[in-house]
Amino acid sequence: MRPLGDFERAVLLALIRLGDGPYGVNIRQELETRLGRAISLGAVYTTLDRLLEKRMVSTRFGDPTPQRGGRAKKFFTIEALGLAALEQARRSSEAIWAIGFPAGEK
Amino acid sequence: MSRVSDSPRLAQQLLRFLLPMDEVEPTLGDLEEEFLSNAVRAGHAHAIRIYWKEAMDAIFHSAVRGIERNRIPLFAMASGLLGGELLIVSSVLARGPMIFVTYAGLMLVVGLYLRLMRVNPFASRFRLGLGSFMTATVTFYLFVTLILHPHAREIPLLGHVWRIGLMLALGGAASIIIATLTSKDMFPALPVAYIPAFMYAWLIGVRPRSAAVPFFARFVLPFGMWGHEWWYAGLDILLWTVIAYVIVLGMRQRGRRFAR
Repeated sequence: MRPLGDFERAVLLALIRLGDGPYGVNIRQELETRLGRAISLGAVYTTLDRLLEKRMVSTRFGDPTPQRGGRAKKFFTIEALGLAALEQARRSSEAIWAIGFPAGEK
Repeated sequence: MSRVSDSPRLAQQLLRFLLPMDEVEPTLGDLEEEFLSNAVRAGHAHAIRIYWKEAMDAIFHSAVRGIERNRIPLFAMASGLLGGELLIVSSVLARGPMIFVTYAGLMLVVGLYLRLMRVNPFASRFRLGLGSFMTATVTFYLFVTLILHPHAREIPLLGHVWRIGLMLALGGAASIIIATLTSKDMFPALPVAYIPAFMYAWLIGVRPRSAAVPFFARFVLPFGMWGHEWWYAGLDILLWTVIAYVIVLGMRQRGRRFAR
């Protein structure tokens, strides 16, 4: 499995945090809040599309709403492959940090 | 269910036209939602500005994704551009054997592309083919130029070739746009890469003459040289035939790789 990029990791973690209802707008808001920088919807779509291609996320359409001009939301859900990739990324990151800060050493 | 909004109609039409079909409605919905929220929070003018910015950004990112998915049209553009540039550089530097810088450059691009695509089953075959082609071409060229026809160095060999390279680059760009817009298989889009080169050849008054010339090679030949020296045309037939062959074989291998 190819390692996840930083932004891919952030998007997958945002999907976990947002639970059942993550779609373009609230994923972007969550990322902006957590990462403290402006993020475009396009960047979010691109990353989600890439993760979709890797089968790490799946999509479903919601009901159309008036706030969206009668258009449906496209919801995203993290899949088992996405969770496994996150776990691998976490282990890899911990191993790297352990080089400089080994457990049990002062 | 729908409600009338003042979000920019032109931006919406652009999104409808430029985004893949399955991305249009969710993207328009997200932008609409953001537009209403921004209009309440920061005013109508600000919301319109943000809408346009986000719409352009969505189109840009969608195009990038399209290119990622359609690497072969990207290759068509890259090889056209690189080939054209190499031909210009070699025409500035020297005549004669310097042509092999360009040939080797084009072949290198094809080889790198195949490596990037991880087309391993084909790699050894490609190396063998490339080696044979380059050896045969160098021998033939040196023989013709240096022994039989030393004056051949003075022929403006590269006059039309770099233009064809440029035309291929333009065609490659057009094929990328088509593949990106339609989000379909690259096969319908790839022939577009050759149309400008074909039109250029037609405009300079050259017509394909031999039925033996492979179909792909007819479109990319520097026909302008046809009337000067047949062996140059022969070399280019070989070059472009090999490149077209490699592209087609690469595509098939890619299809197999993804089918697994």
